[in-house]
Amino acid sequence: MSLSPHLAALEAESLHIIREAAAEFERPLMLYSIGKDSSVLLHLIRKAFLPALVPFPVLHIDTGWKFQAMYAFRDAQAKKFGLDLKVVQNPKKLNPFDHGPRYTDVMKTEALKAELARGKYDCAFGGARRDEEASRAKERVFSHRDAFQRWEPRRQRPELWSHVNSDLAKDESMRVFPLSNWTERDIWAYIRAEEIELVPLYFAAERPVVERDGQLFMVDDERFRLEPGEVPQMKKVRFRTLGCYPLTAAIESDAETLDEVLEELGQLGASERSGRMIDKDSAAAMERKKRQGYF
Amino acid sequence: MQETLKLLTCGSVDDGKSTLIGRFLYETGQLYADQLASLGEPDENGELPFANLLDGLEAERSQGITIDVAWRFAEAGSRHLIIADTPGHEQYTRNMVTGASHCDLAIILVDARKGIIRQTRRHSFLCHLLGIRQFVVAVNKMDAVGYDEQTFKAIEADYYKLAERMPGANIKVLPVSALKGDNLAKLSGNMPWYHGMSLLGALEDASVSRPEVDGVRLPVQTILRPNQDFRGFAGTLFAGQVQPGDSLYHWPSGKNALVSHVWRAGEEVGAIHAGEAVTVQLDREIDISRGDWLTNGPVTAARTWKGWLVWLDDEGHQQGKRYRIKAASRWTWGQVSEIRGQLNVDNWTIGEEADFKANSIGQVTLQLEESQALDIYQQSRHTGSLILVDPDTQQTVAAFMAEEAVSDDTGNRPVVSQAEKELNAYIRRHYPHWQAIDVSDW
Repeated sequence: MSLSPHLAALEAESLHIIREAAAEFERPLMLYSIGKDSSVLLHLIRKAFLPALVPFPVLHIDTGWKFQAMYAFRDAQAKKFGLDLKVVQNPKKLNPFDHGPRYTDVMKTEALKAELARGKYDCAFGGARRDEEASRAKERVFSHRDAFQRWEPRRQRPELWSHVNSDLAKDESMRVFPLSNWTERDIWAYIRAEEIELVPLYFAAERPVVERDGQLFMVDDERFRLEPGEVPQMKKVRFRTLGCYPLTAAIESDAETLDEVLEELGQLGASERSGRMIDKDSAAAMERKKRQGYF
Repeated sequence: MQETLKLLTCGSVDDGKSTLIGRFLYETGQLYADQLASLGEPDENGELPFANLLDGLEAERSQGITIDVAWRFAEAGSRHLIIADTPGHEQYTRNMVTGASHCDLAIILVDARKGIIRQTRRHSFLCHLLGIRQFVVAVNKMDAVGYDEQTFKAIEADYYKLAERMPGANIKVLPVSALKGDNLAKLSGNMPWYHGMSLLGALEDASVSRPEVDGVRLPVQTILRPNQDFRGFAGTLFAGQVQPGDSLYHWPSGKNALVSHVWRAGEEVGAIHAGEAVTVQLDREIDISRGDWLTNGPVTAARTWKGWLVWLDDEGHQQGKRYRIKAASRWTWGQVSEIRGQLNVDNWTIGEEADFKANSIGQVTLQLEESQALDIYQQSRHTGSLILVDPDTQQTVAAFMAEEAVSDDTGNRPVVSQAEKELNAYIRRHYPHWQAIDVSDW
């Protein structure tokens, strides 16, 4: 299927960003979260260098609480595309049941910062999009991080035309977001046009879930803590985003194919991240996390 | 009309830019329930605070102002919109310039109670300078002036007068109320005297064609060498069209080669077109580096360029300071050798101010340490512009838009110093039979 002019323009812009960053920085890497945006980003990064292989490593920060299907998918993709996959987990091993917001700080932010510092990576590609969340709408494509990997929204660099200022002081780094101008709908339309493989959890199937605070959570393994009286029930569900399974709500859906997912998207009355608990710890939660170095 | 339209909103603080976009999304059914719920409580008049949708930073919400560009995505009919909501404060001009450098259309907000003010002129000029040719002037807060036709007509006439100084600009002036939603998605019953387009109609109708340099422009971003047999020059084809068999010219070597294969986004194709991310293979070895250009013929390269400069950094320009310069994937060094004048935004005249401070706009001569190929900015944005970076702070301090090469490398015009010019004048006066050519303009 050929791309619409809109998707073709987004693709070209993303490839320009990827090639520019890969050429400018000494030690780039891609942050790989196994979700649909990561899958699109990986596809674009592969295209930017074809017929050469991806010239830098791909990093998965593993909290230990991803869906089992995500781990299987990750390893299969790495093998299929000849990726230099690095998997890193914080040895502190906090869990999402007992540790609340601290869990994300330690298992995601701290683990990411430690690995980036250890590897002296000066550029990390991420699949974040500006339409996901209000503070991300404010972020540059090339987003500067200080020596402590913190984002300072008031000190963002002007970003003009296609000229990237890649100058960094010691220990500073850049987060690069080639999907900045893509929307959720663009991502799905591109996945369909390019036949990009996804974790099956994005498509509706009967899965064991419990309802909690009005949201549906999948009981992915025996570590899920059931509250008194909770009994997992089989429901036809799918996920709009994928994260740690105890923190990522499913939606009831009959959309089993890409076409059905796209059709359903047009009818949903809620934004994509309404099922993501970590955005909601407080107002401006994402902004604070990013200022501390998250993603 | 399926092409994507990139636009920005500009206007002074409190002109209602964020409200306009928020309300526009609401009126056109593009807000989700949870986004509406997150806006906060309605005010005493029952109006939702739509600005909260865009002012996503804590400092913005607490101060009720926009500090940095917010990017939003929407649709107008079948057309995709990418909207830069840019700050109104003069101190954040750099963010407005950032937005404008990516956009094809500007929505200029004017407060109906105040009419055209300094910021209207400033923003209009900046957008025009940055190459925007489509303008939608939204005369906002019409509800606050009783939807008065005469008030609108007076502002409209004022703006058309202003626009006489904006050659090539296509202008539509609309009376709206962002707060009440008048004339955003459809024409409002509150202004029966208005028979023009709604904001939605104007955005559907706008043209996205852009002036383009005549020729092939491929600045090389990276060289792909997966094996001994493959050497591909990858980058964005900013202008023109290329197919196997075409002859390409290499700047700076001046050598030519024939194209053997062309690739678009990792896939071999029959031809590549402007706007695509491409890879080109050539039929012979030329020493090509990142930042070099592949074109269809000689380009203008020079060490001295005249053009417009917008100063973006809080720290002003330091006379004689060497800055790092980046143009189309190529770094070099240079300095502002002459400040030829600065823009007075009140009357759009050029004054003689000597220093560039934050948000200053002016005409300069730029002296580079190596020759750089550039196009004229108004014909080609990406290949007619460059940025200045302070080597001490790593900040992007200024944006430069080329108007003219002072010394042209493609002929025999070396850079000539003032002393050489004086010597040349002396020789021409006293030894006319030597027939020395006049270099006073070089």
